[in-house]
Amino acid sequence: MADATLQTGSLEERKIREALPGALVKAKVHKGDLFLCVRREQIREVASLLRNDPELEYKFFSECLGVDYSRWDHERDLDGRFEVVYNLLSLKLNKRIFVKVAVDDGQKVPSLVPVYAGAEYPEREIWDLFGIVFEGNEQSQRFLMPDDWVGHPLRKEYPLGGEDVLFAEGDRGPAVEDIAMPHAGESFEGKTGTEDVSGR
Amino acid sequence: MSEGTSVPFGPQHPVLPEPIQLRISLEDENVVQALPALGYVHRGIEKAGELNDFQQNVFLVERVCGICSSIHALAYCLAVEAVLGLEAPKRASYLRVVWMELHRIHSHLLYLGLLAEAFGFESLFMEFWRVRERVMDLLEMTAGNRVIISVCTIGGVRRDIDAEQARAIREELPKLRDEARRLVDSLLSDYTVRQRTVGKGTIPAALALELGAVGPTLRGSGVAQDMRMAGYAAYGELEFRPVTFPDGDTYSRTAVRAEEVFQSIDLVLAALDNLPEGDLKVGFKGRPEGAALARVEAPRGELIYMVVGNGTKNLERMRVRVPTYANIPALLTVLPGCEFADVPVVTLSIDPCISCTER
Repeated sequence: MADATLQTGSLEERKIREALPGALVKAKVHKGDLFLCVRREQIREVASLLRNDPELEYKFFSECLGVDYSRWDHERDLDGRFEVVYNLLSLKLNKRIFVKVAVDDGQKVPSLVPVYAGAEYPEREIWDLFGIVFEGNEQSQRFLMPDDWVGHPLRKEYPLGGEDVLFAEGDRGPAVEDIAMPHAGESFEGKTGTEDVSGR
Repeated sequence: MSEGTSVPFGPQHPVLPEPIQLRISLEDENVVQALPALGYVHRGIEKAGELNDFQQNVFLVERVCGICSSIHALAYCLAVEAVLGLEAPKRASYLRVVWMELHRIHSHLLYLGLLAEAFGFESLFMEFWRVRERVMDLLEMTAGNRVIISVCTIGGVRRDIDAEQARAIREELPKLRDEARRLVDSLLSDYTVRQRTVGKGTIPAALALELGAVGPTLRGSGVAQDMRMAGYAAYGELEFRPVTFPDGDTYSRTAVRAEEVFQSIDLVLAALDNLPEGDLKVGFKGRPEGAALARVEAPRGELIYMVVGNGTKNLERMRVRVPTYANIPALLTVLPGCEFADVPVVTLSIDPCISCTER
């Protein structure tokens, strides 16, 4: 299968390039694992192909995770602030692959719930902790964080160690004057080395 | 849904060792809907993993979960070792198997005890935990601690098991096997237990795969998937076959865990018999750069650590995918249709570990 247009020569890459030309931005093998970098708009088609193709059968959705690359100064596979990495398993091939999409603030990733029912909770968690919106799986309630929490804590600019305890009444703890802007006027210097709290 | 009753199950409930809430809608005594509310014990360990340096993280991830603590440390160490290009020495790999399997034994015995308690079998619960205590003593003897044993480190293990300790383990485990066999037989053959578990909360194999269930929940549906088959640490060199039961109900999941207790005892003994001489760890220089993923079999299923290193002492991202997280969708799918009285037992049958789930 020595096709010059393939970057890895893998069956998965060839299938995607044949069926969905243009969907694949990059394919690479890193430390023995196959990474497929996919255009965000076509992630659902790519996932359906990987799941339903009789030679692939990536039917087992292990997880998906978000990564915030805003402080990353090394080489990247994709452009965009965040990456969502899907981790799929084929019991037929006994093989695990990673599918990645890039997303910026304000953009949406199509939800994979119609393809993999198991994607629902990981996507909710990514929304909760990174603020990445999944189209078709939009949430109004926090998943892991408290319901009245402001901001998305796994973003890189989000400080650790700087939070006050968010109580509504002043007599039960260090109260925050304005819950919508809990850190207004406060410096995080010496706590996390940053004063930028734009994530909240 | 206007006619139904809504019952909050948890966050504080006698059968739940940890806080999770299921908002259950009932039609008469039958569950029609179960909605979860998570986040009661979210501690932000993934965030803390970016702020500590990568060697401190070994101790941090052990505190994700009290029951499978050292298995978290192993998964993290394997992931960082993959990024750094290290391979642990042979003796360390075997010692890791010994400690991981001791952890699995005490975790499964804990589950069997809790299940017995959920039926109201208080004495059986205490009997299981009495047996479990002997495993905790073995852990204390070999590692100095009962629960968080801190034996794994990047590149190997921090402690050795000497000949005398190995002899003590070899003497203790067969006795423990006999006692556990007696208890497991009385649990699995009991009429009342069968009434409460057989056919309750059935997860068919296709549904379990569809929803991404892992571990005993998946093996209890007849799918032979166990990360130990992938042969990490020394599992590739020890004889190993996954335990499966075909029915997918609460009874099957319990039976899988019960049989795995005995399988783990055999694995510990085999690992001690084949324990090679050699170093306990390899040294390394440099800092992690690049991404790697490690999968291990925790007592509740496949545990995944993904580590992205950026060449500094801090990691860019540390992701923990824990088994209960993958099993909760399957649980919520089978709860509708159950009777309300079965909800505690079915919920417990995936052995939920909430502090893992929420990290």
